[in-house]
Amino acid sequence: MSEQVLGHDEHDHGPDPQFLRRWITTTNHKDLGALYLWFSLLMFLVGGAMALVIRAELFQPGMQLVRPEFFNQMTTMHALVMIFGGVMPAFVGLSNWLLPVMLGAPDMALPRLNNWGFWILPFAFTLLISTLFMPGGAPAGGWTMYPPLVLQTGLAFPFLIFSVHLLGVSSIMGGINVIATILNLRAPGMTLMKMPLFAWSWLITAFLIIAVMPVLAGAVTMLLMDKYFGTSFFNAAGGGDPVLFQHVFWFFGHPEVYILILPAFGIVSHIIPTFSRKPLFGHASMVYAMSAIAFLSFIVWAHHMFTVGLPLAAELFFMFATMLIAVPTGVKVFNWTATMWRGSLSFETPMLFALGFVFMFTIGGFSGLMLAMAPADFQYQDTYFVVAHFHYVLVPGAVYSIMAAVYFWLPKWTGHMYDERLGKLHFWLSTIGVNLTFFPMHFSGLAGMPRRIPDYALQFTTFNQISSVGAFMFGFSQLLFVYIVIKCVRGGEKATAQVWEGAEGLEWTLPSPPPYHSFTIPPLVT
Amino acid sequence: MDASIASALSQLHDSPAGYLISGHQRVSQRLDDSRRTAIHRTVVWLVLLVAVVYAAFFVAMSLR
Repeated sequence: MSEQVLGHDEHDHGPDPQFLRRWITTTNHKDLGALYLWFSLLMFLVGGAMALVIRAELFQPGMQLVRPEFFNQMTTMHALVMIFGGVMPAFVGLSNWLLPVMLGAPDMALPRLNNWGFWILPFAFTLLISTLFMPGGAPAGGWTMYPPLVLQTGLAFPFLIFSVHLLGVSSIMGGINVIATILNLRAPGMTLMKMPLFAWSWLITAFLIIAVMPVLAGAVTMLLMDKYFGTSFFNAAGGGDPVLFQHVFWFFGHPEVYILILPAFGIVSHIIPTFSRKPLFGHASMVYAMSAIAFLSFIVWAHHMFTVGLPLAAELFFMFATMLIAVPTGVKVFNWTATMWRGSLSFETPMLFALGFVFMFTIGGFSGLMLAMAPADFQYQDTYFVVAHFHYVLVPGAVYSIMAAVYFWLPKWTGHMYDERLGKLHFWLSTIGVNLTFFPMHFSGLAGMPRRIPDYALQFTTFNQISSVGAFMFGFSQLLFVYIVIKCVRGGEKATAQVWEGAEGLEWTLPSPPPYHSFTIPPLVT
Repeated sequence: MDASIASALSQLHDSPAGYLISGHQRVSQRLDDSRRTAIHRTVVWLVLLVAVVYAAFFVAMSLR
């Protein structure tokens, strides 16, 4: 590049002073990371409000507050909003903010693509959420979109399909950007095996995204063809097979589960060593374990459909393959525990959330092993036991890791310490609330309460009342989280560059907050 | 780089639309040609990977 251009670039200008123009046109990874994180927080609140509608209705047997059709819309939209609007954008936001500063890069490798990837999201969710106000209402056939039920969706159907397509495009662009950044913009001396585990977790996640998002796009396009263009891919009357959709959907859906949890593994692998004041136990084995989990995620999809009438050999294969996932997952839990062993532990809020993650994600993992057993799954299928399982994995699992990450890196991002006392209060209120909500669901599920039903038999009342009280407690304690974050953004005790005594990594070498453009000169990693 | 292109880039950089490319230039500034080529090559391989996944999906669907 010519000296003239280099000369021009050397005068660092900060963000565009005009507010709207800055946030719409920004290609800065920190700005886009912040946008992703604020967007996902908004979606968490929207999806959470939907969950509270569900729990309010289920507080008592019988129909109290909403019509059954609306209840079904809430269960469907809650899942779509939380998965595609809450958890995924939160992890993408964290990757945006953190990968360049962890790798010693000036920005993401493809900053304009990054801008586009974010701004697709508000359009996609406007399309999706607008269906709530349409005649016939929002999609109500479940987030899994199984035909033939989903084909009964009214005007909302094309909006659902188009928004899923947009979300897929955004995710694929994000995935390409992450891989291009990690493979090409690491600081000199940072070999792949020296790379921080959050970057490793995202490298693997990005490959999963690229491998499965096109499958989802293909599957929903086939649904669209069946509904509007006279094809019969999934229509038995026309020679098609509705079970084919389930195979295709879960070929996407199971790796998707790991897209939602692998970055969490990366985050926890940073936080536990920091507050144990010890290096992570088994860095290389963590990388191999995540890779093994990602590989296995492609060959276990049919454990979601044991009851559709699979051949016995297939049931056995998917049962054993699923159980195999417990091995690399066990390696990770062992390594986190071994890191804490004889460490100099302290329990600041990020560590509390990380420990909560390890304990409660493991509960979700164990119930996953129970569900993996094909003969037992015939009893668990479509009961609240499944709801308990995946909420343990996703709420005190993925969501706790996001909260841990926010508390851990918030002082770095804002330059201020958050209110530690309120942070701990937030953790304990959330933890009591989340367990009150989801633990009783194991019992109601084992007793036979079906999921996605707005009414239930009398014997399930007590469990449901406990769950509903817990859900409101968990939901409202998140307002405390919003308050803590806003308070920290607006001011507070100044954070040092290092922030945490035991923190290690390139991001802690930058001042807090880091300059608008960081690592203009690449750092040397030895 | 040709001086006129550099000058045009410079003007664009200071215009409102320039903020859209500033992050891009920040990255470019740090890159020599071989690194830039490596990024482009990575992106091409990844786009090809997406295309292969799509193709495999449609072949699988038409084989059944």
